Amino acid sequence: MALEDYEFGARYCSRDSICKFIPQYAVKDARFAQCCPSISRYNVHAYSGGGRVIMATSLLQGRGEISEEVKEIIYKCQLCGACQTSCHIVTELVEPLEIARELKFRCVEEGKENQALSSVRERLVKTNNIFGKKQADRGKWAEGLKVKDAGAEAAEVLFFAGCRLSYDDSFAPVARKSVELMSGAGMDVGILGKGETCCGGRLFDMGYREDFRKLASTIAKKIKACGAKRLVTACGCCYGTFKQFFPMMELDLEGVELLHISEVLDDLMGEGKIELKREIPLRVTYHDPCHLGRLGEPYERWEGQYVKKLGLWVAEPDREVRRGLGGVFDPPRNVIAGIEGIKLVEMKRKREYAWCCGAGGGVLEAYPEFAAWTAGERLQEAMSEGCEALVTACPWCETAFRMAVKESGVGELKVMDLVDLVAMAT
Amino acid sequence: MALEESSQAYRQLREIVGEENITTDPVVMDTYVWQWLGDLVGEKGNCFMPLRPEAVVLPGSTREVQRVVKVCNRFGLKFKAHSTGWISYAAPLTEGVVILDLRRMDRILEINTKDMYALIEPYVTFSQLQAELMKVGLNCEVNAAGSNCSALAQAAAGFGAGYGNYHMGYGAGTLLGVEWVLPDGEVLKMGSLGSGCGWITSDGPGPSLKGIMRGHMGTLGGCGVFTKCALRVYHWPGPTEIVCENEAMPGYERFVNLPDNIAMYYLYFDDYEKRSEAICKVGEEDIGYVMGFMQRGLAILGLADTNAHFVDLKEDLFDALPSISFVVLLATHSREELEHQKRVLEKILEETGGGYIELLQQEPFNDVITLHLIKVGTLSAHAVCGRSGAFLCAPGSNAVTRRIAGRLESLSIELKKKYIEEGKLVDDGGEGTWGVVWDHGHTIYIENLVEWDPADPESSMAHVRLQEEVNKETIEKLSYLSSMGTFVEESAKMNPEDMVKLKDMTPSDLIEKSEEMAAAHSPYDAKLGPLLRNYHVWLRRIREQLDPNNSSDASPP
Ligand SMILES: Cc1cc2nc3c(=O)[nH]c(=O)nc-3n(C[C@H](O)[C@H](O)[C@H](O)COP(=O)(O)OP(=O)(O)OC[C@H]3O[C@@H](n4cnc5c(N)ncnc54)[C@H](O)[C@@H]3O)c2cc1C
Ligand code: SF4
Ligand code: SF4
Repeated sequence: MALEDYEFGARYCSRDSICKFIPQYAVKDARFAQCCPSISRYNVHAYSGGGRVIMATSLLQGRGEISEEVKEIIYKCQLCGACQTSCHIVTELVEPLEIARELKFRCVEEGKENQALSSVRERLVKTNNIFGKKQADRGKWAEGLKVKDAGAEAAEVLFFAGCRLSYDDSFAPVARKSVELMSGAGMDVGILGKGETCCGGRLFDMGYREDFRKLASTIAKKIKACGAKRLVTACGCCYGTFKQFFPMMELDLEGVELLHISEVLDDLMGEGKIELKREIPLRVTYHDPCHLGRLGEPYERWEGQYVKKLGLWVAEPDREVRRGLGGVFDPPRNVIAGIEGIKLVEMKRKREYAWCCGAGGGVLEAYPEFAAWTAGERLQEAMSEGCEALVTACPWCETAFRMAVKESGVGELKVMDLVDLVAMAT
Repeated sequence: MALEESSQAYRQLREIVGEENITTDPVVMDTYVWQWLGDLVGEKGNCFMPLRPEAVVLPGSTREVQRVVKVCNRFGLKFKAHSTGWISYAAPLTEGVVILDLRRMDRILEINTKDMYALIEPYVTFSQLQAELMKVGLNCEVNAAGSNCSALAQAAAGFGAGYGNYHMGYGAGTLLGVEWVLPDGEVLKMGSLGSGCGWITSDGPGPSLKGIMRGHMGTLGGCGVFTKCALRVYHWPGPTEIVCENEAMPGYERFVNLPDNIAMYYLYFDDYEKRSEAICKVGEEDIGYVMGFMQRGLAILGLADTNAHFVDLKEDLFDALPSISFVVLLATHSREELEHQKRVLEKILEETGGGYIELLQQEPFNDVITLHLIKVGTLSAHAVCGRSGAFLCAPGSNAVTRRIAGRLESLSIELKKKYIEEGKLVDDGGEGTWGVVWDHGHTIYIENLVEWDPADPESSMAHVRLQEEVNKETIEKLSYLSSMGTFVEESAKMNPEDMVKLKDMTPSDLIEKSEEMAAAHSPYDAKLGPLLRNYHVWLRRIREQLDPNNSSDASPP
């Protein structure tokens, strides 16, 4: 796809600003009614999903060019997709999220990259991980763990750790416990260890479509070659990449069932295969990672056309309107609610209209203070519900939240991964 | 032409609002120029309005607004306020305009449960305000455009039709004290506020300029900036929080536990006379909480999830639904009171030969319509704007008697069908009547909504031709002319060059120097003014007093 492919729909944006807010019927108070971190922080209309649509139209019509200011706006977007959920309540024709992403691709194509991201890309492409660390160290997190090397022997389940769990020591326990919980429940688990590479998702969302294609096709081949029937990840971003970006770019993982660890834990707990021994008396809320939630809905490529019927553009063949409803929402909630002593409360912005953690789209790397601000907003929301802990299911979200806790000093709120929580209860 | 960054004016504006809150970038400013209805005013097939602003600034306080306005006065610039900005009038209508996007002014400053008002800034949306009010058992009138709009903009600056008008009043009626930055940058405190008596009324003690400031349609950005206002609020007998399901699935949104003191009734009648009689009786009996019209073609547009779904649903439902209808929501303080109101309604139906449209009172339709009547939400946008990208009404924006309402409705259906048959307008069977009831049924605000494809010039023009024909027929047959209809008809003919020329024309120039320009700028005034004591001349004189440097951007025609 190219920006031009979205021009047709962009003409039908009515500039109603609906994409700035969570669905109107979901608004429960004035403070937490916004859905888009970018417009909420920077206010100028161009920062909103709709603003991006109009900027794209303006560029395509040759009314202006990608100036420094326009570039900055393009990159100050987490590609969290909240705008799309709200927009698609009113129209199926406009694609604010896809346009926001295409604008990043366009910057790269025109050589107008964001400098910080350009360096991230360079080291990622060179080292196959976002931190620029050694490939040989990728499997270190699993040292001493009883788990198969899926590159060498067949395993039914391939656990994909991803960059954050692989290289950030503070997250190694999440990876280890994931494997332990699955193995302990009798599952046949393997990992790629030092044979694993980045899933490429962050490259894609930073605007590097072709680099993503290369990296992702390599890992797709490896995953398929190892013969596992199920691919499990504890990273929301990796999950979203496999679920959405792979089919979007026609990368095939056919025959491999993709699962997030929360889905696995939900099943195992339901089957009584994980024994929970401890009560955890805690008032917690759950943060839906964008790529696991609304962006984790199955992606179906649509190759059709719009035809006029009764004066309206109708998709032929029928096209699923992406509102994020098919993401992974219930399993993590079931898992939390299944732990004795826990009181699970919902935040005002939840499920398909959850507020983003701030880390996506290269924002964490290029504009850390904006990422921290976004995460801080979420922490405030959790605290407004009187929560003691915020649980999430993606290490990137947790990273952003930890950063915000440090910066804002809201020390009393614990930030935890779902796997940690389950491990605490076992 | 954008302001040069080296210019004095730019530097002063930037100093006031800060680096982050000013832009002159053409692509960024284009996001304020692309507007719903832009295809009617600018180049056909394209929603960019003809003129870009000089700059967009985002002030964060009344003081900043005041300073921005003074800079505009000082440097011969014009300015225009912009709340959520969902209307073409929020874009510059002449050259040399600085847009004030009021998004940073988004606080609910007070909810006064004793004196029953809410004090708000411009970027508070209806959904935000209503949610806070419901927490304390109160409610506000919500513009039927959608709860995503600014509550202040509708009350102080323009329009204000919504289902709640029935007992909460039209937008203007809900307006109490106002803080108004006049076109010369001075702050006027209107109503009781002006004499230090708080926000409780717009009509004194203290200066009452509501008629001048607001009138029926509002000045639509043409006379200063309203920075705060108090809105009248009302009792809400429903739950303190409306819990919903499927909020992101149009056509399937549901209440969780609809309380037993709230019920929606969709009513049909055999003819317009009977409907008129029923509306009158409902008002006289003082039953009902909110009320409105959503004729079958329009209702189906709103109830369908996607365009493909609309095509199917129209096939299934259109003939199964009666044509002449209105909808009323009963919301009472107890179940007993609801039973009582229901009995009264049944009696009225007996007397007028009406009945319930059972089909629409079943799930999922019942929940969708009930939620819409209470919260409005995005159903209006989904029904009309989101489907084809553009809509308006023919006849447009009409406040009429109940009788005329029926005649307008039938006349417009017939005319609209002709254009639908040409294949250039959305086919709602011609039956897109939408309306609300004012003053307990004495006045009806009615429109027949027309949807077209703004990217197809022929489709836009089909709509303009329909407006012309409706305007002609309503004058001939009903001695009636709608302002919105005339605006559409004439602005489609207006040369964008004329908009540029308007820049230097003072209100008195418009009256005296160039009749032709005045007529182009405000054809409605040109046609009706001489018949109505030249009200337009007086309005322009007043405007001249309030705006000595002609700094406010032009009001729409
Ligand atoms: C789908 C749709 C349905 C609609 N249905 C209805 C309806 O049912 N009833 C109805 O009444 N209207 C309706 N309208 C018109 C509607 O009133 C406006 O679109 C809406 O209220 C505008 O709110 P806004 O916050 O977007 O205002 P804006 O577009 O920001 O402002 C509206 C006008 O007021 C001016 N203005 C805004 N804020 C200020 C301020 N603080 N000081 C001075 N001037 C200001 C602007 O310059 C502009 O001219 C509809 C519009 C649409 C698109
Ligand atoms: S992108 Fe969608 S929601 Fe946003 S203004 Fe445009 S049409 Fe409305
Ligand atoms: S993707 Fe997220 S951050 Fe970007 S415009 Fe949409 S809502 Fe805002």
